[in-house]
Amino acid sequence: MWVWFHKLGSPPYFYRFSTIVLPWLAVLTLILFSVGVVWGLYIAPSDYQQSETSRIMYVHVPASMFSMSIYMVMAMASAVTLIWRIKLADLVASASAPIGAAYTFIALITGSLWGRTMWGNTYWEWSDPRLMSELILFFLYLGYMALNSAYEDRRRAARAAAVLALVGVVNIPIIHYSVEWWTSLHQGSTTRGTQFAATIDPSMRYPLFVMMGAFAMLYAQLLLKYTRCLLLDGERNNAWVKEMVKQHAA
Amino acid sequence: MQHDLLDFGKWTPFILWCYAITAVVLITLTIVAYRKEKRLIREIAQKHRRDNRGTS
Repeated sequence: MWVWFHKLGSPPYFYRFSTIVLPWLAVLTLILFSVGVVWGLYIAPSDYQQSETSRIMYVHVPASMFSMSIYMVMAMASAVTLIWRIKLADLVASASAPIGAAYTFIALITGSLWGRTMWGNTYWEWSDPRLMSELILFFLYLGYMALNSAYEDRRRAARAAAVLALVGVVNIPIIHYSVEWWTSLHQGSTTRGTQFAATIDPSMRYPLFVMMGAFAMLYAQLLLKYTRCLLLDGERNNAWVKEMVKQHAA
Repeated sequence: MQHDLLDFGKWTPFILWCYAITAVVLITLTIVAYRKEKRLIREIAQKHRRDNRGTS
């Protein structure tokens, strides 16, 4: 496993590996999204308290969950960049940022619309800890992307952005536990460990799992695709890229 | 609960906006990624063709 992981750090190997994996991921993502959307919108029952608005859960929960998970991936890749200076780790962190920002944006918008239906006449509450910490996460992603493109020197940019990503990790437990530590309009966490099975009926839990799978597969697919773009851009003068482009043109 | 296609009572606009915004953002992100790689490969291929012409 470690040997394979080590091999994956080599740009030409990563490119060949992703070429094989990407079509499978694309098909899997499409299937999971198709099944998840139909299941969530038409087959799953509506909630006895929240009625039809509970269907927003099938996009809001996976987007929120992965907005945090992607940040953790970005932070871990940034740590690897700083400690071992593996080039591919920096590219993985850089490629994760726009995807994470998009997922956070979806979480904020869908959460705001869902909140409007449940909390009364408001889309946003500035004093709410969950909403504000998620908004800070969105700004952290934007800040990371801005800092990453602010330097001409690629290595300096990578180091500065990696430090920002690591400092921002402190926000992840704040987002997660904000509903327990402070008073919040947002409901308490239902997706934790063994509680999960008890608090969500299988008729709603399974479509939610399918949508979580869809968001995860899409992240994997986009991560590979964006990393390949950064790799091609950075290594365009290397022999393996020339060879690959030649094969592509043939 | 069985219901008409795209009819979720008074909450219809909220639910459909959520799904529509999600779809637009994710599809855009995917299209940008695929087009970016295609453009890069084209650029690199053109550059190599130019370089080869210069040396031959």
